[in-house]
Amino acid sequence: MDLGTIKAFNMLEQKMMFHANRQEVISRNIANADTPGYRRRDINEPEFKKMLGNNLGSLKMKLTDGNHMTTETSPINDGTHDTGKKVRLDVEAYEMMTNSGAYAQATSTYKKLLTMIKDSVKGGN
Amino acid sequence: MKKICFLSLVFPVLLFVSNAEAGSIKRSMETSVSALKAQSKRMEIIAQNIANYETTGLTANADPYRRKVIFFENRKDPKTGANILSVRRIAQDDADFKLMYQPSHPAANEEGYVKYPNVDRTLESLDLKEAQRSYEANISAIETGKAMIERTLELMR
Repeated sequence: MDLGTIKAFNMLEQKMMFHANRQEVISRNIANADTPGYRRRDINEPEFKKMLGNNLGSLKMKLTDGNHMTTETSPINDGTHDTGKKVRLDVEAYEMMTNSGAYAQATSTYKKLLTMIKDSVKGGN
Repeated sequence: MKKICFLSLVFPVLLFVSNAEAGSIKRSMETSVSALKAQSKRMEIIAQNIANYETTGLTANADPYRRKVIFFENRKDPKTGANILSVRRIAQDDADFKLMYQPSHPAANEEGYVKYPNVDRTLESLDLKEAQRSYEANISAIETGKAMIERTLELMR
């Protein structure tokens, strides 16, 4: 089994999780569109290139001094931040559409990879 | 043998993915459902306001129906961990009542004025439209979540 394929699975999982979490945040924004004082929240897309680097075991910075800041990023799960903007339903609808599109893209790729592994196991046909 | 290896490799991955995603998407749907409930409560309050826009008091100088306003709040549901929208409280509008000169009305005061509710029908119907739009937006959020879960399930086919 080629490890590269499994890494691809890992990254797709992360991507799918990110878009699922983003869906949660967008739903929260839509639900609170009429809540006074509520401002729209969002999460940052994890840097997939950086993630690939981490997966390969390189590109990770080390703390060599107590004054250094860590390179650890907050977990995707609860890393929402306040954008300071009011919730607009059209913006949320657009974000939701692009988000579910990206999710569909990830699942399609995931499925394709599975098919590829299946084919290689079966030896073609 | 090869097939068994393949299955044992793929299934844990699939189960992990479906669990992780279903968690977030489920929570997003819970958020939207709570918002649907809150918005329908809002519509109920608006309907009460509109229905009572002419409800005066019964005795002389009695206060008529007072307009109700609803307050929403965004809080975390301890049971599911989802952020839900709930009704914080339903308060009364302190705005002044409308006075109309109707000396023969049983609720008229000494000067012949009757107090009418502080309900503005235009405002209420605009508010109703807004509630309706929010309701629709939440429904489309639920539909998107549903489509995403379907995509995940498709991986298992």
